[in-house]
Parts: sequence; C-alpha cells; structure tokens
Amino acid sequence: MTLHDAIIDDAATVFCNADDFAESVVYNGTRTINAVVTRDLWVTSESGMETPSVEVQVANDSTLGISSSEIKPMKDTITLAVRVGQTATARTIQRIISHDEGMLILECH
Amino acid sequence: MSLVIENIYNVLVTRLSAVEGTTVNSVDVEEVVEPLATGNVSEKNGQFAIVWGDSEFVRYLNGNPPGVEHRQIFNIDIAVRDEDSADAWGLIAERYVSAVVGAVAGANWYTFGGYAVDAEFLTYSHKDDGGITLPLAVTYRTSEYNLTVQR
Repeated sequence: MTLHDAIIDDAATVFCNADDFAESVVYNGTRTINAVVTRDLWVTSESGMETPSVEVQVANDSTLGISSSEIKPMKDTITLAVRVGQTATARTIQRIISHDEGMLILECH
Repeated sequence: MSLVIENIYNVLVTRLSAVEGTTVNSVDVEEVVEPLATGNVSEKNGQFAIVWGDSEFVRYLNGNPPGVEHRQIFNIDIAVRDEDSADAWGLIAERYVSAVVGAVAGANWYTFGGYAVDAEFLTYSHKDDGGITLPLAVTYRTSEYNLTVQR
C-alpha cells in the first residue's frame, strides 16, 4: 500500500472513527456515515438572520463518506444534531471549505 | 388580539407560501421559511426566508383619535446557488426576484388585506454568499398607544 492509499484509508477508519471523535450522520437522508462535527459557529446574514453553522469533516469517499465529485452545495443535506443531545435535523451543505483526496471539510447551516 | 403588523406579516407569509414547491419563471421555489430564534433556517437553493428588518415611526397623525404611521421593512432573503444550471447566475437571481414580486403584488396588494396603507419593493442587493436580499417596505397606521388598533 502506498502512502497515498494509506492516507485515504485512514480518513475513514482513523480520523472518522466513531470510537474517538466522530459521530454518525446521514448524507442526503439515505447514507449513514461517520463525521467529525464542530459546532461552535453561528453566522449572521446581512439581513440579520442568525443561523447555526457547523463544520463537518468526512472521508472523501462515495461509500464511507461523501465524494467530492458527487456533492452539490446548497442542495445536499447532512442530518445531524445542531446542538448535542437535540434531535437531528437535515442541514444543507453550504460549501466545501477545503478538501483533498482523503478528506472533505464542509460548512453546513 | 394581533398586532396590526402581525396581520400584515401573516398575509405576506400566505402570499409567498402559495408559490412554495412550484416552478415560477423557470426557477424552482423550494421552500418559504420564517426564521426562529432557534436558528431553524438551513439555506438551500430556491429558498425564501422572510426576515423582519428595521421598523420606524414615520409620523404622528393628528386627529381625534390621533394615530401613528409606521414603516416596517421585511427582508426577503432568496438563496441562489445552483451548480446544475447552465444559465447566468444573475439571470437566475432576477427570475427569483420576479417570482417574489409576482407572488406578493397584484391588484391592491399594498393594503395587505386592508391592514396597510402603502407598500413598495426597495432596491435589492446581492449577498456575499450568492443570494439576494429583497427589501419590502410596508406602511401602516395604528393607535398611538395600542399597536393592535388600526387607524
């Protein structure tokens, strides 16, 4: 296995390990995947509307995560709890903050 | 008893909700939402969010009984970003603006069911995230001490 392959494999099995910091979320209502969710953000629109913003890290993989080639910002959703302990709701993926062949970092509102 | 402006707002919500889930001017209106304090809004392409904007006292109305004229801004946030579309982004945005105007305005639309005396759409602006904010200014009159009583 090359280093390249090892990094991609680690994205799903190490970085997104639910025994550590990852949790289970649902992509587009059908695909259950593991993700690392950062929940300390709020954004205020120019019109004054406040919206929670979460950062979601997932494997760049069409089975274990989300593939960067399939994602449709402003249409696709990730179902997660905006506040830990609350009911999960579908939040729209606003944009891809950054990505490489192993991981995606997504902004959801 | 409802505030006069609350009745106007409800009419606005009803008018915009009528186009929810439909295609207008070749663009899809996905949903119409009212932002709550819990941050319930998750912006998606083709979404209209009705956001309360600034309110001002325009003038006192002399008479017996006297009244007050108010002007309330409603900012209609239109989320626009469709990576599947081959049309120019600005054209899509204009179609959405047209969809909002068409849903809200019509014969005697500015009275909002008889609760307002005037209404006008103001200059819309493009947002940093690719959407549009379309302000709607509504003028209405109330009692000077009871905002549930219309004048």
